[in-house]
Amino acid sequence: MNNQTISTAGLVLAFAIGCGSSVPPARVASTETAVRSARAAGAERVPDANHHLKLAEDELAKAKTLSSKKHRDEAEAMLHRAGADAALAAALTDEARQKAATEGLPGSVPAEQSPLPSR
Amino acid sequence: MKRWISVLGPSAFAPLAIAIGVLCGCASSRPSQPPRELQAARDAYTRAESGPAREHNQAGLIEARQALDAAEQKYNEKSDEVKPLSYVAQRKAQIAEADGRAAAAVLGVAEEERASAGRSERRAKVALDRLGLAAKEESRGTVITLPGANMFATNEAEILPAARGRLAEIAKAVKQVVAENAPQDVGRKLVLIGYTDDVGSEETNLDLSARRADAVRAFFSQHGLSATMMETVGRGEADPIADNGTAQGRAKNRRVEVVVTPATPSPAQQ
Repeated sequence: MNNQTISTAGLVLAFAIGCGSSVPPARVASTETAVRSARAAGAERVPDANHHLKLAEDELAKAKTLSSKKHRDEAEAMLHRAGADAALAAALTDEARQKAATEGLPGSVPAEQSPLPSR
Repeated sequence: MKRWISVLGPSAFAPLAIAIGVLCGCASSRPSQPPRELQAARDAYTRAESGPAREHNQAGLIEARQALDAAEQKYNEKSDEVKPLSYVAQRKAQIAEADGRAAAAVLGVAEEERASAGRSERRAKVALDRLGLAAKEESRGTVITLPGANMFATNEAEILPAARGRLAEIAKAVKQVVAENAPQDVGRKLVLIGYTDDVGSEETNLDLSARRADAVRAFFSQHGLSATMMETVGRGEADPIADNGTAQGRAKNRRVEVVVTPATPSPAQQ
C-alpha cells in the first residue's frame, strides 16, 4: 500500500518520454492523494514523518511548476520523489502509532485511543 | 598524416597520443566515486536489511532491493537517472525499515503477554500444588476444585474458622492466575460454582450451594480479589464427581469450583 505511488519503472519511463509536455493530471492527482493521506494519518505530529511530509509537499509544488513549464521529465522525477517521501511519512507515522499502542501502561492502548488517527 | 609527422616529428605525437588516450579512457570508464545519492541508498538498504525488516518485512526489503538495483544499473550506464532513482531507492529502504520496526513492536508485545501469562499461571499452579489442589484445564477454563467437606458445616454456608487459613492461601494462588489490571488478563472472570451431595431436597441444595459460592466470593473479595470479576452460581446436587451412595463420595460432591475463564485476546494478539 505504501509503495503504490512509487514506481521505479514509471520513473524510468518518465525519462524516456522526454521534455516538451506536461505531466498528465491523473499522475499529479495520484501523488497529491498520497501526500494528503500522509497528512491525514497524522504525520505532522511525528517529527521524522513531518520532515518527509514537508519534503513531499515541496516536491509536489516543484513538480507542478515544472509541469506548467512543460518540463515533463523533470516534473515526473519530482513527482516520484514526492510520492516516495509521502509514503515514508505515512510509514513513520504508522510505526509511531504502533509503538504508542504497545508501550502504553497499564495495559495496551487501543489504536482508536492513540493520539494519532488511524491510517 | 605522413606530412604532419614529417613536420612535427614522431616524438611530438607521443604526448598528444597520451592525452587523447586519457580523455578516451575517462569517457568510457565508470566514475570512481558513486554519487552521494547512490551511496545513501546503499547505506539505507544495508541498515534496513540488518534490522527488524529482515524478519518482519521481507516483501518491503525485496522492493527496496529492486529499486537499488535499478539505480545501480543507471550508475553503471553513466545515466543521469541515477540520482532520482537513488533517491527513491533510499526512501523504499527507509519504508521497509520503518514497517519492519512497526511489525516487531506489535509482535514483541504479543510475545511478552503470552510469556507473562504463562509465568503467572505456572506460579499459581505451583502454589496450588503445595496446597494439595490441582488446576485442571478444561474448555470452560482453568478449574480449581475446593473441597467443601472441611470448609462448611453440614447444611451451613458459613466458612469454618479452621478452613480460613488454607482458603486465604488459595485466594493468593488464584490471584496469581488472575491479575485484574494486567494486560494479558483483560476479560478474565472467576466463576464460583457451589455443589452439594444429594442428601436433602433439590431446592434446598440449590439454595445451599448458591449461598456457599457467595461465601467463598465474599472471602476472596476480602483477600484481594475484585468482587466485580467474580460470579457465583449454585448448581445444587447436579454434576456429581463421585458416588453419592458412599460417605466419601458425598464428601467429594460437596465442593466449590473456581473456574478461571480465558482472557479476552488483546488487539496485539488478534
